[in-house]
Amino acid sequence: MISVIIPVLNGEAYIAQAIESVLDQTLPADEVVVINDGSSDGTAEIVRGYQPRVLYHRQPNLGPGAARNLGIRESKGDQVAFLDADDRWLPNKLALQKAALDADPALDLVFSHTRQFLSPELSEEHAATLICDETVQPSPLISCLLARRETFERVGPFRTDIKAEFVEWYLRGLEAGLRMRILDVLLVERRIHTANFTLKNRDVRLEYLRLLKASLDRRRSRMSGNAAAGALA
Amino acid sequence: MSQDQPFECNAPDVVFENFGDEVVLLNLQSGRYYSLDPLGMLYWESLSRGVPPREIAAHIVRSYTGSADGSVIAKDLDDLFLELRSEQLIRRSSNPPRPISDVPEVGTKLPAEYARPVLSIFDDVAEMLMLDPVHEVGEVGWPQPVPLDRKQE
Repeated sequence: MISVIIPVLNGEAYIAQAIESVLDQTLPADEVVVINDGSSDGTAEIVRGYQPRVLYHRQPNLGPGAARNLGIRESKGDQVAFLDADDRWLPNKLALQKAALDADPALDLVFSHTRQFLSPELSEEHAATLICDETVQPSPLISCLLARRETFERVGPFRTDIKAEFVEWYLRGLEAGLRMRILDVLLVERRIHTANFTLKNRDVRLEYLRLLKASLDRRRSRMSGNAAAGALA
Repeated sequence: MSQDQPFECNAPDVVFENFGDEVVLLNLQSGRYYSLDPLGMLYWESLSRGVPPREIAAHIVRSYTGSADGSVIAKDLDDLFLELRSEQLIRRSSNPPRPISDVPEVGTKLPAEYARPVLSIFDDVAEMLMLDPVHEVGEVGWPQPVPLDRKQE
């Protein structure tokens, strides 16, 4: 059984396309769960229009980490995928990824390739200020993920106090020895648009450094713990 | 290239932070990240503030006079400098060079015993970090804005 979780904050412009791209899968998801992270725009109305095919939950604005965690708690599938509300899937995403997970019981996470696209509503002037690299790229991004539910039990929930919650979760996953594979096929399109323009990126980059430092420290501590255990054995 | 010239961190592609026990650097173009141990950390602090490599090396060699072979230290620091260059973590600076005395911690925090400085390189999350997975934009835009010279074409 596959659950798809779509967290959304003020995504009225794109949420319908995201949901349609899930409903259009050649292998349908068993449940689609939208978590509204306190949107103040027309997101709720649009999502309600898809009920009962889509399950709808609302939380006060607690951020994407908390929305993803709520989605995991509110879903039942033994395989879980996420889609950010501004991205969209190609129709064979779930079919190919489920086949990959089913074929290899030792595999924990399956990703895919992505391609970026300029959101069509951008003005010519605005679009001209962006370089949208349309190269198809291997992408361990959350919109590309299909994972076994037990993976989240093993690695733990997403952190709710940071912006790069999936980078942090993925680092913990690597430390836990998760096995992952990136399918060599384009299955997800990443939208480049106005709303992902903020001025916070420098903070995010510095956050990456702190997450990497914490991961290095955990790995070293585990290694020295293992060495101490080896010495005692 | 002259080691008498000043260099600087290759920002904004490269970001770093000194955590006290190590410097962690991240190159967002390659997605690779790095750790510099205590001696490498002091070398980085001096280099990224514009002290010319030759001056840093001379200072560190002097500091270990009598306890370690100066020619070995100079060679080790030269290797570290070349590695920082080849990983594109630094670039030539157009600012005037700064003296080593502007970086007082190089005098006070050098490890008591010399050990070859190590730049540890990690690429386990490179594919992810290259994609700038958090959908946000920096001072230079995300993805990058068209450079001015291309806008004029």
